[in-house]
Amino acid sequence: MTGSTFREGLTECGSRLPKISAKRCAVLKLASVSNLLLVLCLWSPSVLAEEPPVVGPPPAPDAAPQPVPTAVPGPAAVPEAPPAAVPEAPVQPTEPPSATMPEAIPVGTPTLPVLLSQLPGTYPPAALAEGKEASVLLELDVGETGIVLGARVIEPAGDGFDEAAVQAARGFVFQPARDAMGAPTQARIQYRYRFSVARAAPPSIEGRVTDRGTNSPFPGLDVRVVGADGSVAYTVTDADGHFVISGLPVGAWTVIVSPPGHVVVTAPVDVKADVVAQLTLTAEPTEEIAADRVVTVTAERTSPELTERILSQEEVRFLPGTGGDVVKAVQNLPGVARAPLGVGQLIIRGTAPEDSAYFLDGASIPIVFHFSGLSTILNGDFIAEVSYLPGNYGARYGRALGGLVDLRTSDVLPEKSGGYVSLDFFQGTAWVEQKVGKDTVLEFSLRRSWIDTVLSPVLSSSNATFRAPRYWDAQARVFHRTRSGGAFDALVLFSDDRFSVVGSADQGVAIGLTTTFGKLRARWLQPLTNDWRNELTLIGGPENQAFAFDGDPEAAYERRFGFGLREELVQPVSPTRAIGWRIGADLQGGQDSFLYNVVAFSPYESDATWLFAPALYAEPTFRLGPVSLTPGLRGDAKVYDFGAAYAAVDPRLSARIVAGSTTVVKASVGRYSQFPTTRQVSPGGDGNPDLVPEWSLQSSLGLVQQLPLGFSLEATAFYNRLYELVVGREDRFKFFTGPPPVGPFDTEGYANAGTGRVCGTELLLRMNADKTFGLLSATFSSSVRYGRDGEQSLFENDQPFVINALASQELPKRWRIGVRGRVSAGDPYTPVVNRVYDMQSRSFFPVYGETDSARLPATWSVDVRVDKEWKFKKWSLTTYLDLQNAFNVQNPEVMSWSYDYSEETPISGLPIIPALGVRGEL
Amino acid sequence: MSRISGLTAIIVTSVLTGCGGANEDTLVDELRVMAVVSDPPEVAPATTTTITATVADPLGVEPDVMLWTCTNLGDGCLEAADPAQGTVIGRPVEGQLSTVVTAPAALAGVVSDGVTVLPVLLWTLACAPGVCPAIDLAAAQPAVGSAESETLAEFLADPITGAEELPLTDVSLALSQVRVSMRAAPLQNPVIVPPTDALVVGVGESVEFTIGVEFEGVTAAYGYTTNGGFSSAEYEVVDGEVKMTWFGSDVAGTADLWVVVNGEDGGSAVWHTTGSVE
Repeated sequence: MTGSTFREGLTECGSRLPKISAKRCAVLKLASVSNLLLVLCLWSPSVLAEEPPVVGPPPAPDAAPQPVPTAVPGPAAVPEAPPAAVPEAPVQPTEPPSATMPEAIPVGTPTLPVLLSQLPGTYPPAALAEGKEASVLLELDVGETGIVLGARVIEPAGDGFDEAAVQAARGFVFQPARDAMGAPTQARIQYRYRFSVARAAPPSIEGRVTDRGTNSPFPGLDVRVVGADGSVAYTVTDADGHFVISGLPVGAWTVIVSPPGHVVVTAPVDVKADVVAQLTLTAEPTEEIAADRVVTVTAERTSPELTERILSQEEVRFLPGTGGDVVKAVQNLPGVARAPLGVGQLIIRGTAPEDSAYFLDGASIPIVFHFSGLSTILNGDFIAEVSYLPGNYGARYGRALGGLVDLRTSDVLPEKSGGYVSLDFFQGTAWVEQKVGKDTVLEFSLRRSWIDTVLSPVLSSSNATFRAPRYWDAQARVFHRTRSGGAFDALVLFSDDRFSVVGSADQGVAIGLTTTFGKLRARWLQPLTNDWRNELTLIGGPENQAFAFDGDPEAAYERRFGFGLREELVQPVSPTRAIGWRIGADLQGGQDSFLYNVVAFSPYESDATWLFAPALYAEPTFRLGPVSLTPGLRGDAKVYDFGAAYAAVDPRLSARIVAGSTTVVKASVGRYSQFPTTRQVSPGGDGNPDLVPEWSLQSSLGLVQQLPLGFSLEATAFYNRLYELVVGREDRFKFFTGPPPVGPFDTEGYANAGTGRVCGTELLLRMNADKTFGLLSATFSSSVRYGRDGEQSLFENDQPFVINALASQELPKRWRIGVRGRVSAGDPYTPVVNRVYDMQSRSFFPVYGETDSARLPATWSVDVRVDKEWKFKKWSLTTYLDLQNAFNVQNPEVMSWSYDYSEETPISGLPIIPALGVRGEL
Repeated sequence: MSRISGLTAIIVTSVLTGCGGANEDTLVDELRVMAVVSDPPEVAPATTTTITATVADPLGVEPDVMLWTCTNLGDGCLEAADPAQGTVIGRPVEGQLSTVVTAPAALAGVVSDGVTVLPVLLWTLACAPGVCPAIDLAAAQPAVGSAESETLAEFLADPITGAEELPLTDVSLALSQVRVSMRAAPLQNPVIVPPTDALVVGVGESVEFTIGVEFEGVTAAYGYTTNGGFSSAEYEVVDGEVKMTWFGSDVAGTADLWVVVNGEDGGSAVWHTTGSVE
């Protein structure tokens, strides 16, 4: 910029503020960036109060500053004014200099506002989608306290940029201007705000504000977001009530809206790194009893996990077929095969359920579903989000060949105490949430299924009593937000599942299965300096699975008294930091004991052994413009007290490229190890201590494309190789993990003699509009194994295609309807081509044909759900009918044969289930 | 590790299908080898035992039956050296085919301690005429060392694999064993004492009858019929008696009935009679 331009700017500034103490006008040139211009004017508060600022004509084109390269990767709107602005020309003071001027500023010299903090602005979504860039020249009134009192557009850009710039500027915090006496004073400055697509920050919060009664949106409504440290960001809703706020630092924030004629709505939000929190705020008219509460909290993580799909409680609460269970809804996502017989297995990317891992806030838990998958073992109201990672996850997770599910509890304090009681076809639930002071909340939940009381009499016969599956679980939690911004969280969880068939009175339990466990999980979250945050999680407690057989209540069992510890330090990538870190230690240990004394399945096995499994991991993230690279390294070990020791080192790398304004390309490759189970290596279990860890080499390439009308499309191709798979007698014990296996069994000892290959494509089309939620997921895959002799076979749940379509529509008068359709290929099986009659046992045993040469028919089902809510003064009542398998389709799901193997008699899935529920909530 | 059990549905199914009435497993509606009794069930090397195969033929296919033994000491069947000589082929008379088998003398060294009991597998294959190539092959008495002999030896050594090539119907393959030992008190067969009255049941009704069992040890009884079914697939023998219930079907007529008694450690007996549903 030339000197003449400076003078011109000075002149214009003065000319534009003739009524505002024109003598205090100044033109500033940034100290080290000659092509940036900051024009500031000081004015008298009294004058300002009397006369509103006057917006003059825009500066001449050649006076407009040029963009400044910034060292900050990824921010949304890059303000052209750096935090420290030094006046180039002295301001004409009207008062004497002060002796309390800021450092480096000569006493007696008036100073202009210095930008102390700012939040990256929110890019106008439509403009971002179209790749438009712009700069907006603003005029800001900075008050004596440094906050922005007013912001006006001097040089508009249109396309929503003007409004976005104004809203972003409202959140600026300045060191206030000082007069010649050093006293804080108000000032008016010009500020050029530039929007750059390449540096568009990811949204932190997306939401919508509607009237609770009419569900109509509030357009043009001010939305204020306040951080724990007092930081404030602003935006306004669009014509449809939507709003977006980008670039918020990690931490606790509160969204505040005050629609006219309605009560103020506040919503606490825990902003996480690379996570989009989604809110639906509904406001009650002031004439009604206040019910200002958050209805929805959802989040979608975008990094560092490459293919992470998150479902929220609110997203799935009304989806048919899930019973409102957020974890069950995961079964609708790409990469998950249909579990036979509706059990709660998660068959992820062509791997067995036991090859996937389940976590609660990063701490391992043995199961996530009660028997038959009716419900998650943890009340969904404890769960803020369910993270489903089908593969290629970061170094934070390990010990699994397949995917994983991490249940994440809420870190947000509720607005008020509350509770509910719900009753449905399957279970009864009581929930209480009690605030203690403003920083602590106590939560309790108790659930008990009662489907056994209905089914048991029906299924029992004259010669056997059937005790249908029943479960109960209980949780208690205390969550405390500390003054330092951290949190302490303790959760106690108990779960008990059992069912049995009892023969005649003197026979006892003919067959039965019991699964119980209790866990104490404590977590401490603490933000540290420089955006580091520390998370320490401890978990411990007993697990027990017992198999009753032929009158022996513990003919077989597996027990563990386990503990786990995860210590993790995270420094996320931020608009001001191009490198982020995740460093942690993940320890597990305990005592495993097992007994197998079921002659029909195996020889006698029994052992008890201590084990210790430490792991260390580190995972930096480098953000280079539109490219983010996340290499990771995880080292795992496992040691038994009988001397066996195992180790694995797993390097991983993922990359994310922001290609344009609406497209993200993702790629990843990594090694994932899984140690043999205790029984596989234990001498007491006839195991093989010389086994080595199984491992997989996972690779994937994905594309995320934002589409118009609220649609988004995600496509992922993956190719995984499996190595050192343990083969052997394990097949015989699948009764602990699912339906008993069929087909030829490998009855030889354990050996790392198997390999495998899984490849496929996953598609996810998602739509989240005003009152409609839709999801279409499709998985096309192939999963193959190579056994001990090198013979190829299909994975037992290999399903070449799985397609799920879900839609939920909100209707007037608090009605809601949803439909889910599912189509999937049947599982493969090995046909029986003949049989041999064993004279001693008087039973037939099968002669199998070619391995996996047959496949069950494709399955399909439709679920329908209708919800209706009634609002009363102090409580609400919700009822729903979840019609599962509405067409009562008899899908063959597990192959079985007649006693003499002369006929195939496949076992069908669940029939039509009209699950009716009611929920009363305070 | 996921440990959700899907066993629930399996058990639901089994319980539902096992409720009351005739047990469908006890209805014999196709060709089946019902019992293979060796008398005595336990012999010394180089001594003989009489093998009797009892075959049900409700469809009247008039099967050919082939019996053969397989003594495997780790190198395959000893009998493979001359497979055709090791087989007995015939057509059952009144549902039974008998032969005399000599326990291989080569086993003497293995069981000479007077404690060891070595099982010799005894296979029985019943097929409608022309259905099973192995029977035809054995009947042709191929010369030792010929390709046909090799093919036959392969089938006799591993009939389970061979059965993959056989049709599912009009074929019945059964496995039993002859015990070889030099024990002082070898295993004996149970003795069935049948009821004195003829078995008659009304259409759609049931009749209970009692048979006696003479045996030193634990035994179980199994009933089969070509009309209706028994109430259970297995009955416990208590104090030398077992009460069995036969359900007649909705179709009147005669019925073949078999009761097989197995000792827990081996040894068996079979009783065949003809009843009527009226």
